Amino acid sequence: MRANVKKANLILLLYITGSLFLLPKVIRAEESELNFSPFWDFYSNNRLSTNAGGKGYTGIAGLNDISGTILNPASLEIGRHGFQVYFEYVYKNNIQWLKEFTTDVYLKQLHPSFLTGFGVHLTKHLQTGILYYTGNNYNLDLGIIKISDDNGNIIGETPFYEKFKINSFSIPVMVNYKNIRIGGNVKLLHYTIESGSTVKYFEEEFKGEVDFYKLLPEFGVIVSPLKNLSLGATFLPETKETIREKWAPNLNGFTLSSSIKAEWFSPQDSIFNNVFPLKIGIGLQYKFDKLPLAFYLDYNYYDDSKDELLIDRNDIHLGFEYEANSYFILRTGLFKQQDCRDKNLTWNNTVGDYDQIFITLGTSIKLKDFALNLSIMDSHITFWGQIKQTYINAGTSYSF
Amino acid sequence: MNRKNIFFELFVFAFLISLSGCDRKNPTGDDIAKLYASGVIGRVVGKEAHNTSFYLWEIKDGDSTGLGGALGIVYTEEDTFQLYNHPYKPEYYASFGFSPSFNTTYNIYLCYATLMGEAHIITASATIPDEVNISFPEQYDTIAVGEDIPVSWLQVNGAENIKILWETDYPSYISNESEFLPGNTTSYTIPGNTITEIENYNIQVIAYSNSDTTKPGNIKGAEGYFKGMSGSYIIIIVQ
Repeated sequence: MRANVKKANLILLLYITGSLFLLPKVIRAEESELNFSPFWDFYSNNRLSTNAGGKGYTGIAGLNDISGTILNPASLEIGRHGFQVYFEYVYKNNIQWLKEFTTDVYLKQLHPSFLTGFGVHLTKHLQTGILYYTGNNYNLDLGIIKISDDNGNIIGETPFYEKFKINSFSIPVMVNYKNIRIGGNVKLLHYTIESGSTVKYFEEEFKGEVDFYKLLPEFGVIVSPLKNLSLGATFLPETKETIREKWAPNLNGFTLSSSIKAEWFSPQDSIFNNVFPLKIGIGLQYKFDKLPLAFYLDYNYYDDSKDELLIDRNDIHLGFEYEANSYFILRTGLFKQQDCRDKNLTWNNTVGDYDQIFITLGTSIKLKDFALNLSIMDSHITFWGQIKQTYINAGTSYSF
Repeated sequence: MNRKNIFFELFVFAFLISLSGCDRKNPTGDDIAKLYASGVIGRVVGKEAHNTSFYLWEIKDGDSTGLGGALGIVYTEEDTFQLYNHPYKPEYYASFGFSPSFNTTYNIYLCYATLMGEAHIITASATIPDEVNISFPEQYDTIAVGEDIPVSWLQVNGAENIKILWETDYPSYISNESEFLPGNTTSYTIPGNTITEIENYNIQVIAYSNSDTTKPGNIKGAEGYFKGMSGSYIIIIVQ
């Protein structure tokens, strides 16, 4: 046992040291790849962690299964078991986009969208695990674009799309001592964009690709100053990235004149400098004395104004969790998602039209070592904003 | 200049009547510095059985590094616009089924929006010169390979510059053009050493207004310029 503790401490030391080296310098981007703008978070974020989703997508100050570490790595609590396996899938609805201008552009979910993880209870004071999840994705379906010849005659049409995805590998580590829990995540994020079309006139396929990895540290802490009260905080530092977008037309053996190839089909790389803004979260959990009821309040700050098109984002989350008995838990909550566009620029509609208020419901059913979790987050039933979204999450865990 | 570029030069066109979401605020200085727009509004008259009208506009960011996939949005009175989003270049073209009148000034309004919905208004005006009347050679005149071709036309009111184009179609696709000539020019001799193919040659006389691209004030909301254009063409046979 003592040997295990030493081994665990060594892992922790290496982990913390490695994380500090990953802290980036702060640089503001000038020309950025807009697909990576935090603007798209409102749709691209898959809001994984079913338990958090049921209670207003809160979880900074509360304990959670392995999925909850994407909100706060300090929340990891596998319980009395030594191991936990977890899987969840999320559905989100398609929404029409830029409808002031066009009728056939949609933001669509890019399947698969899921989270799977494995947690380990190493010692009394140390828990860790590994996760793989598609934290953000979308398919921007730009519809059918007509192609005309030099005389203005329509000679073909092509579907056009941009598929954006962040696949995440994460190693959370949580250390607890008395009433303090300290957590860290080392995230390896795989960013991809695939832009493309099939131009039927030339029988060509065009593929634009962005593909890069980022290694990112994230930190969290939960303190319980009182028996019923926990306070939590998370910190995700700002990073920057130079992004290269490669364009590679697939000629499919079709022969074109050299001049047309040179003008229309020459691959051209684009270089962008993007800032990925910092995020700070603080949360509160209060458990009532005479009811098996817990109240959650989270506040998330996003330094989105590092993107010159946006302002800083401030989102508030409220949640309740009612543990009816050891087999059945009910959750509800709400949260606000802010339209973070800069009012000083010109937009297709009024800034504020993308504000959303989500109402959430969730439940967990526990059968021995299995837990089945369901949640729904929906903004249709509130009056704010033009965008209406629904997320339905279903997850299951097995602890052993 | 290759064939495609010549056509892009030739025509372009649009009116903008209603701009949903695009009429709230003028672009800032930063916006203007980012965008580049150019185009032609014009009409070409042929001596074939049909006349031809082409309208095209182009918009792109100033340094061609891309705006992350943007939409060019234009509303026309006829609502018959076509939009072409280049598969990988940040350039956007559209043509319109609208036939402008000669000797008329048109105000052009574009609304350009990124996929995030950030919108820009670009306005310009361009005057279509009077119709070009080619007096020599005649349609389907015959000449020999290597022979000079004298071309003459009536003086065009409203023309700041004149350009002559001569080109073949399939299979050789040869294309040549003159320098910009003064607007009061009424003749030009096509060098015989450019007449190399035994094919039909399309000879165009194009009159431009707003052709001095160094003049400021032609366009607002972006860098660039719009031209007004009037053209006429004939076909000669080279044997």
